[in-house]
Order: sequence, then structure tokens, then C-alpha cells
Amino acid sequence: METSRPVVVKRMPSRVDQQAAREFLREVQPFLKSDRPQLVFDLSQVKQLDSTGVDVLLHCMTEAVRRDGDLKLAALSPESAIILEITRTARLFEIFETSTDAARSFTSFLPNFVRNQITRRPPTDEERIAA
Amino acid sequence: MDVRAILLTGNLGDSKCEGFGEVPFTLLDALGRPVLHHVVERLRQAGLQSSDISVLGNLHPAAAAYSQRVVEALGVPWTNYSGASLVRAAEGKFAEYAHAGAEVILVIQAGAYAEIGYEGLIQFHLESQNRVTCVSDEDGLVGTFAISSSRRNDAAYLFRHNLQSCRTTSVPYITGGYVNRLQNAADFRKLIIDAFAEENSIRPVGREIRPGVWAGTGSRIEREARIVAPAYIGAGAKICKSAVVTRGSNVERSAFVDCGTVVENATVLPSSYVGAGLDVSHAVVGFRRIAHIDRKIEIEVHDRRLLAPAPKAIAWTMTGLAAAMMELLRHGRISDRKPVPATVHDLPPQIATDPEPADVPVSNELQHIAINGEPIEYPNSVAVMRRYGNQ
Repeated sequence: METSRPVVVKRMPSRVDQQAAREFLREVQPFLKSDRPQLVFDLSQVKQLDSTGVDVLLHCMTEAVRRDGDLKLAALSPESAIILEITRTARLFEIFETSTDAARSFTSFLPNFVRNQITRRPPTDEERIAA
Repeated sequence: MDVRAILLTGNLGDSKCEGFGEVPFTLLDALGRPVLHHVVERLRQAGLQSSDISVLGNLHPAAAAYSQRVVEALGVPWTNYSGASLVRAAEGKFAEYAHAGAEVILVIQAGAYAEIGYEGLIQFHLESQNRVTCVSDEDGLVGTFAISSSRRNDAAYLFRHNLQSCRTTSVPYITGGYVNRLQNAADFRKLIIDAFAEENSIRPVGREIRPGVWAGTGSRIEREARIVAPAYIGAGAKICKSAVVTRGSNVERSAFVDCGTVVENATVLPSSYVGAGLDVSHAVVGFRRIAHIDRKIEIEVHDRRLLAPAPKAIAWTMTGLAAAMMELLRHGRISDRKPVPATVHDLPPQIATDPEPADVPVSNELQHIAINGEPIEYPNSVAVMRRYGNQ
């Protein structure tokens, strides 16, 4: 089914400089190459983010969107939030308070009939007749 | 009357002083001059000489070097001490001034900016016969004290209690002047905004090039840059093209704001480079740090593409000269050879072999363009503009 695609939540390292960013990109590359990737990056541990880290985020976003997927950010640390803000990249991402919220958001935009199939029990005969 | 002053930068105790990084806010530039400069100027107006004023600090060595330059530029001696030795140094300085014949000694915690009439304070101190007169406003102590030089024990008590409590109760001197405690970056920004609004006596150093826009000597604002009042560009600062400085922002001396960067309600500290295409708002930036006012956090930035110390002006001049030379050489203006327009043979084959669009019907008056088979007519003078953002 449409909703069975996994949401990958990845925690970013505390220091995202050139080397760490390259390593992080290598780790997430397989997920980016999957069909319609759904990714959440948790930035709660990030204490130092530089422009290379921002480049990696943008690259991942581009790759995910190219494959009809999406990348969302969650639990931004104050340090990462400031860097994303001053580099004007915060507005390009959907940002959530927690990674759980971000993961849930991937199903929230589905059409109602699809969501009902996931979350609700099938209607009884009486309900069907009443409808 | 012999009056002397001891200015204390940094805390008397072991606690960290309020400041940007390790530098107290009073030593940072506000519209062209350090805040401390205004305090020293007020003391001079009250009749004190530079030799009557001492600045004692308790700062981290990295901040001390910067602070020393700032204070010595004011013509006032500066000594840095570590930890609790500042208390002993303050007591020693007090005793030295007392021996030298001072009658009243002003002790000023230079962590706050207070516009106090020092002559009025001294007069009040003498009339009320206080041992120690505390200056306060509606929010409490301001951090300025007038102490009779014979009251060495009271002074020692005050120093040992980090200027927070006095040995004996006394009638406080209530000031109605402007007071900013400069406890955080938001307070520092408020000081700048208040100065633009003329709510305090700090005035921008430089020439008012447009209503509400001041520029220091040697500042360079490129033609395509946009400065929206109120704003201040310090001496030797450079604002590159497409940059915007707005909403009460101040770019201090020798700072460099690169192309396309927006500085909004923010302070760029002296000799700081702000990278291209950034959005610096509600912040104090410089010394490789950003203090965000809304988020109430200060972070260190190690990326030279974002924040860095500004290169020396001479380096930029040399770079500019080199770029100009390259430009001249490229256009052949130095050599005798005149630039030759490209011919069809010079062009790459895929371009050169393209047929000329001779069969496109173009009239002098109207261009005939067909959309969905129906011809529409546009006069030559029509320009098509693309809409961006809120335009």
C-alpha cells in the first residue's frame, strides 16, 4: 500500500563540519536513492553546523524531491536553528518539534479516504446503511 | 574638590561577566564609539582628568587584549587582574587615591550604561553626609557609588560583596537619567535603538548622509546596496552591492557586509566580516559569534564563509586593484590591440553553423506573434516584467 513506505529518521552528529557532513551524506545516500524516500533528520544533537552541513541538507532535499520524496527536519537545536535562519534555508524545509511529529506528518497529507483506511475500523453494516 | 574614579569591567567575583563572548558590552562599539567612552566623557565633563580615572578589569586573556586596546584609546590606564585579585586591586587603588588626597572616590561598575550627572551625585553625597552613596533607579542599584575617601573599610566591604550591598545604610541617590544595565544582547540592541530615537545621549559618529542614515569616515557603500533609516555605517566599513542594512542596524568600524546580505535590527561589531547572501536579523554578530536576541542564545561560528574577522583594508584595496587590472586586461584597454568583435568563424561550430533567422517576420512598428494559431500584436515598446515575491 501507499503508506507502507518507511519513514527514515536519522540523527545528525553534534558537529557537522566538512568531514562529518561527507560521512553523514555517505550514510544517508542509500535511503536517498530509494523510490520516493521519506526522510526525517533529527538535529537535536547538533551543536555546530557550518555551510557544508547546510549544503548537505540542501543536497539531500534536492535528491529526495527529485525522487518524489521529501526531507523534513525535526528537533532543531538552537545552534542549528540560527545557522539555518541566517543562511535563509530554514524556509525551504518543513520543520517539526519532534521527529515523531515529523514522521507522522508524512501520512497527514494523504487523502481522507486513505487515512481512514489506516486509522479507523471498517464501518459496520448499520453505519454503511446510515451513510 | 579632588574626585577620582575607579571603573570596574568584569565581575569582582568569579562569576562570568555579562558580555559578548568574554568582552563586556560596555567595551563594544555603539554607533562609532565604545559605550565606556561615553562614561569616561561624562566623568571628564565633571572635571576629572584622565589620570584621575583607572579602569580595572577581570577578563579572559583573549578578551583582555581587545579591551586593553579599547580602553587605552580613551587615554585611560587599564589593568587586568584575574579572579579574586581584582578585589584586592580595587582596594589598593582606593587606598592609593585616598593617600593622594582624593576626597570622594567614585566606583563605577562599567557593566551598565547610566547617564548620571556626576557633579550632582558628588554634591548629594557631601550634603547627605553618607559614607557610601549608592545610585539607584526604579529598578534598583545602578552600579555606581560615591565613597568618602576616609571610609576605606566601607569600600572594602563593598568590593568584597561584588558591589551588591553596603556596610551601612545610607540615603540613595535616585537618578532620573537614562539607564541600561546591558545584561544581554537584547539590552545592547536596545541601547542602539534608543540612541537612534535620541532617548539617550549617544550620538552616531559620522556624517548624516541621508535623514536617519549616518556614515563614518572612509565607509564604502556600493551603489546597489540599500541602507534604510535609521542605520549607521561605521568608519572604514564596507557594504557590498545588493546588501540591505535596515531597522536600526549598525555596522561598526571596518566591518564588511558581503553581497546580498540583509542586516535587519542587528549589530555588526567592529572588524567583522559577514558572508554573502545571509540574513542577519535580531542579532549581534562579530568575533565569530552570533548572539540571537529572540532565541536568547549566543553561538560560536567557525565557518569563514559565514562569519570571520574582516580582512585589513589594505588587503581589500590590493584585491580591488588586482580585479581592476584583470578587468582592464580582459577588455584590452591597456594593450594597444583593440578588442575585435567576434566573427562567425570565431564562434563554436554549433553556434556558427546555425542559420540566421532571416525568415522571422519583424516589422518596424509591430511584432506579429501567434499564440494557439491566433496572431496577437505587441508594439516594440512593450517590456515584459516578471513578478517576484510581494511585488
